[in-house]
Amino acid sequence: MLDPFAGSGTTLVQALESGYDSVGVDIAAFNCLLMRVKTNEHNRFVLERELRDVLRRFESGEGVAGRPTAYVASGSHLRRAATSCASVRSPPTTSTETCCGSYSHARLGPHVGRLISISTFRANRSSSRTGATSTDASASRSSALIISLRRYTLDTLARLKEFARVRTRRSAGRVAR
Amino acid sequence: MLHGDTRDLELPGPFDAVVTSPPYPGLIDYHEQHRYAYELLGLDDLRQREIGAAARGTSKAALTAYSEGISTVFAACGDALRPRGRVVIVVNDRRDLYPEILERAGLRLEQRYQRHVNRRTGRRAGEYFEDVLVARRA
Repeated sequence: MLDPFAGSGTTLVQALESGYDSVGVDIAAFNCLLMRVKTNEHNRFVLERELRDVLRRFESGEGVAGRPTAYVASGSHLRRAATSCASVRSPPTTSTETCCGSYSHARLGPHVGRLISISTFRANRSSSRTGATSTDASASRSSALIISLRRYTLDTLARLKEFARVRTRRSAGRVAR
Repeated sequence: MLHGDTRDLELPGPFDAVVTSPPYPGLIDYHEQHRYAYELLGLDDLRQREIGAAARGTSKAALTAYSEGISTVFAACGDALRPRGRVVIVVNDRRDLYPEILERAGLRLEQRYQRHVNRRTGRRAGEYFEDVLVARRA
């Protein structure tokens, strides 16, 4: 089946569960990122180990303002993220987000990188909703974000594991960009 | 998964079914709602190709452009469909745009189901229904 307005990929997920081959098209690259995370087949043991490693590194202080992580020490992605971060007015951004964003592209494998990107944005949206604002001290906002990042990363992982149990052995179609 | 505009892509296929829920005019800006993700991750921004973006409003001209865009997408889907394949569209068509859209796309409405939507959030009040349209190639 085909979904020409596939959004975050709910139709594809349902098709995989029901045993249909499916192709999803979407104009929004962020939706495509969500779709990939939701429909790719992961080695969930490797994925979990790598994600927990990323979280541990963040929690030990890598990636916060003034402490660049080894993952993002170099590379054009960091520079681009840092530059664009400075130009974004709303919603508020912090160096934590910059690093999370860069993290995903620097050294991590594509599966882990995409998943961390998604978790970062879920975490950030959540902390914006719960009242954190750009006027909060950036340190407290950073620590709130890191707590949310753990919560959303583990939640996303749990959802993927649950889906892996019910998905049938069908492909979601070839990935082409 | 294909990133792009169905109107420009060469669709793989043929498909047994098209199952979708299209954007509706004037409701959501799909790129803008995740703007900083685009900036931070350097994602391709194709907002100019969004159909029915909230930013374009719901003027007569905007609705005309919307209907034209959606019918072009469904015409392309129809071409990629097997002869007896169905197109299933979930939409709350409160402006009654879809009879004309389907006709222009070369599709014939076969069934129309009304579906009550259980809201997950209490942000909007009132009952909410959406239609499930089932069509085939005319």
